[in-house]
Amino acid sequence: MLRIHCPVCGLRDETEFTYGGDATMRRPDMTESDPKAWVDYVFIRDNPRGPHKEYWHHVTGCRQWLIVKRDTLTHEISGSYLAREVADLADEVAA
Amino acid sequence: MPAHGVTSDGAAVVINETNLGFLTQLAGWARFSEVADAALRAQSLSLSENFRVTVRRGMVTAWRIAPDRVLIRSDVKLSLESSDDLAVLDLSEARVCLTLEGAGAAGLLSRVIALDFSEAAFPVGTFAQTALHHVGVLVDRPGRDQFTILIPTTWTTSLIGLLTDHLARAA
Repeated sequence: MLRIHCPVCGLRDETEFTYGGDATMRRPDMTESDPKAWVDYVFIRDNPRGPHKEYWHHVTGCRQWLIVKRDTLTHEISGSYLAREVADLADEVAA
Repeated sequence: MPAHGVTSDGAAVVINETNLGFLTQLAGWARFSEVADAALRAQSLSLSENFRVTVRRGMVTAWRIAPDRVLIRSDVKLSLESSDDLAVLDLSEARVCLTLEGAGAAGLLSRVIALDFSEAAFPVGTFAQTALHHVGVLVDRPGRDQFTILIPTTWTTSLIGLLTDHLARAA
């Protein structure tokens, strides 16, 4: 059983969350016309061993989307953040 | 209702369904804190910065359940209106209010919800949104041996059955 720290609700059991997929994927620019870029984005995923960033949804808690840093080998969780805050930060850096 | 019972360690619990009154959700976007606080101040409340602490003023209770969402329970319908920055939603028919009272209330909840209900971890005056039998519920602790649980209306029969069945088996 994973125990995930939600920045809003605190430490909770994995059963309160649903897994939302790889958080390292970036959607191609909407003007991208190469089908391969879209196929990769929609279907192709690595299966990394070690540190990884994942989306988790706190579905029976605050209903916020989180980005969780989890080691896929040991299940150790080294950090969790509100996805909205990470996105805001990325926007600021890009601006 | 009410349902009386004891936990497996002999502590008494009374489960009751009580009148919820009115339940209003405020939700918003980037300016939520500012806009919701202004709306709440008009009701003699304020927006809590804390996602665990219950705010009570008389017969009105407010829970900040997410960065951009707050639930308000009141005995009268609040005069809040939606705007471009604030979505007001009446959830009065969507939730049912249960109370658990007695020395065994915390113990009973500990057996059905994966949270620590000790006074140190879940002090009086705090709340949590969590899962009861995989159903999202809000648990509030207004007193040492008193809990209020807001459950989705459609799950009322099942969840009351789960709690009372647990007490029956413990007895």
